[in-house]
Amino acid sequence: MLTLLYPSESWLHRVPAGPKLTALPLLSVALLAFDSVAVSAGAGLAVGVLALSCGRGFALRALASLKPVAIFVVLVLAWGWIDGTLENGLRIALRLLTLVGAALLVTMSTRFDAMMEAVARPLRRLKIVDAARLAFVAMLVLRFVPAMIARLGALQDSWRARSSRRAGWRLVMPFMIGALDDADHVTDAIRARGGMPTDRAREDDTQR
Amino acid sequence: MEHRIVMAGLFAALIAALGLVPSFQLISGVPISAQSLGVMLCGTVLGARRGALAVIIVVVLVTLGLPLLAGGRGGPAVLAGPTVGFFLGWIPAAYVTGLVMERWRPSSVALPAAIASLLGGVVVLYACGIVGMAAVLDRSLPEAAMLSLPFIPGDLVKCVLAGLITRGIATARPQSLLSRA
Repeated sequence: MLTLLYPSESWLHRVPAGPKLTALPLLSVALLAFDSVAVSAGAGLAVGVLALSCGRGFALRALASLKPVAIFVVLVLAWGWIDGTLENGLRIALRLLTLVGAALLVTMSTRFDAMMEAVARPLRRLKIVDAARLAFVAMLVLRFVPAMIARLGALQDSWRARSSRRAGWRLVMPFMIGALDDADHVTDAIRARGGMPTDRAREDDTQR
Repeated sequence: MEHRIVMAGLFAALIAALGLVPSFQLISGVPISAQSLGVMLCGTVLGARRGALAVIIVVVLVTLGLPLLAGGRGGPAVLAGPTVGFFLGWIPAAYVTGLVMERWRPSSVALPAAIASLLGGVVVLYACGIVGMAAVLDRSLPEAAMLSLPFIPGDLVKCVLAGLITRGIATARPQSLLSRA
């Protein structure tokens, strides 16, 4: 469930993450620089054709994922219609749909680890970010989420076993305290295994 | 050191998990997600720097494509959408919430935590959110503010909740309240 990747093998899936990620800001700048209905409509059409070239299911899923911005599109169009600047509204709506749509194509056709590697590699070279540690923390977060959901489920079960009333807010504090204790236990476990992985590990070893 | 990073990871996960809580409706069909409550708690419990770090983890993971936002949204599309200001505004929101919590230390915990959440999680967050929305939708700031106003009552409820939860943590696990460590 924890992925937005569309499980198919289209040509877009085979394009490396780096170029796909680079294309997004370039598209944004281009659309802002040549801001007109015609340009945005053309770019939007191109994004639509790209989506369709990856298969019908892929395109339909991309369309469904546009739903959160649909309300803003309606809003901008209605606004433009009311104060007589419908063309302006159309321009903004098309730009919004095109940029969000293009970003969706990238997300749906790129594995998360490829995405992370594409971003971490240049950062690592610049020595801004400790990539090994970043990856470790990311995995930690991804493991905490289901653990938290399971904990809440267990608390709800034990409440239901003892009461016919709704638990409501009463489970909030036990949940939080349990989560904080989890953090303590995980910390102990990490320390027992010699600490978190880090890019600097090798340098430390040679110093020792 | 490990403990602080693990705590940041835990609260990042908390924000993600709160996105799975079905959104409740306070009045007139305005959906309210619980995620900004997590952002407030990052500030009140972890403090400014760690709180901001926890939120940055979420922002990075979401931007790279994990569907951790309410409604299963994620990916760079979030940065292109009208709510980008609110999404990126989470970082200064948690930082300011934590800063207020660290600096202002009366004997109670609930009140400063609620006020800190109000300043960071509502004032700072909406300032960022409204600027972002005005930019993406090409509207004036007052117009963008009007679109955001219906969500304020729900966020005020979350401030009170953040205050109460922080007080609960201060009572039960005082050593985990890094903002007051």
